[in-house]
Amino acid sequence: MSKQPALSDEELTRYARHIVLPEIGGPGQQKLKRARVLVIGAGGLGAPVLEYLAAAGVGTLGIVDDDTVSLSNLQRQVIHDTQAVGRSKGQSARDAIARINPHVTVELHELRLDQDNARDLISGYDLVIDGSDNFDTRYAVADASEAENKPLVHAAVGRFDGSITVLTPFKTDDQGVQNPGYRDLFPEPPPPGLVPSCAEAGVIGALTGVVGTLQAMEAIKLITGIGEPLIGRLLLYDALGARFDTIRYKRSRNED
Amino acid sequence: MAASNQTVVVRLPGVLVDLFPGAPRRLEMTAATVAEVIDELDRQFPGMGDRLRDTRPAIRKHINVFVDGDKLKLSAPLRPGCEVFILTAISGG
Repeated sequence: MSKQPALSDEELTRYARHIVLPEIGGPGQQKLKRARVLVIGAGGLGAPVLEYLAAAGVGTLGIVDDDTVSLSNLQRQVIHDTQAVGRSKGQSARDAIARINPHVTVELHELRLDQDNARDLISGYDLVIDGSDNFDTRYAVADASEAENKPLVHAAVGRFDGSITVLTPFKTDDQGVQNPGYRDLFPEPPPPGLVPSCAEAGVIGALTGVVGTLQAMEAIKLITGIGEPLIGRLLLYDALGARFDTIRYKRSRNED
Repeated sequence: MAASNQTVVVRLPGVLVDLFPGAPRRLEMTAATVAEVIDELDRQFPGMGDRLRDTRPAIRKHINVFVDGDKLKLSAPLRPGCEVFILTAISGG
């Protein structure tokens, strides 16, 4: 028995457009099949992340969400539909993933991630994707991912703006310098009330599609080992200005 | 008051601009240091300075000022023509 999971004839056809890419090929597709990815939040960002990673053939998708689908979610959380209103977001997403790709195993964690349970949750996965909607969860995810040596694809949105970066603070770069983490970028959260939530300030639905799809792309790059992940770089998307900017950043912990 | 005539480009975060009607996402100004950028922002948009700088004075901890990949302090000099990114964390998902 090979450690590489075999791809069936059906899977070879399903993933043919991946396999024909020299950067992915059969070995890359097998890496995707073997991968275990934890997605925090099955909301605006989580929806495209889960849909694209399921379609791409990621073998196991963990979903952390303790919320239910509401009507006001549907303008952006496209993995859920009108029939799902009132259902658990995790179960709704699991059913949608089964329709997209029956080869994907979904592990549901219908709870709220916090500092007490984060490391246990994250330790069972290869890669973490943060699509949560509050600073408490974001700092808990970032701290636990760093402690467990798991790459974290972080993104956030608000109104017409989004940002995304890849965090591997447990690794060093080519020069032997430690990579930066979330707390190097933002040492502490803004005071409560300063940054309005999506519920308060609004968010344009397609923005979560753009940024969540970028997260899925970064995850695929990390799993297959191709390209240049957004490590030490923060990609900013200003949807109204139709501008993408990339800002480099470094480890700066304990600096004022 | 800028100490020199050098022009820099300043990029502001959406969450900050939303608090100051009429403030643009991108503006040019004359400034030789990060402190002068904040002084000029406060002159044009009264109160913006307090959002960016505390009483120490230093840049507030949830605010970042980046130029060419470096996180800058108030006293940091700016080179002519540089692009100054002022960032704050956002949390929506």
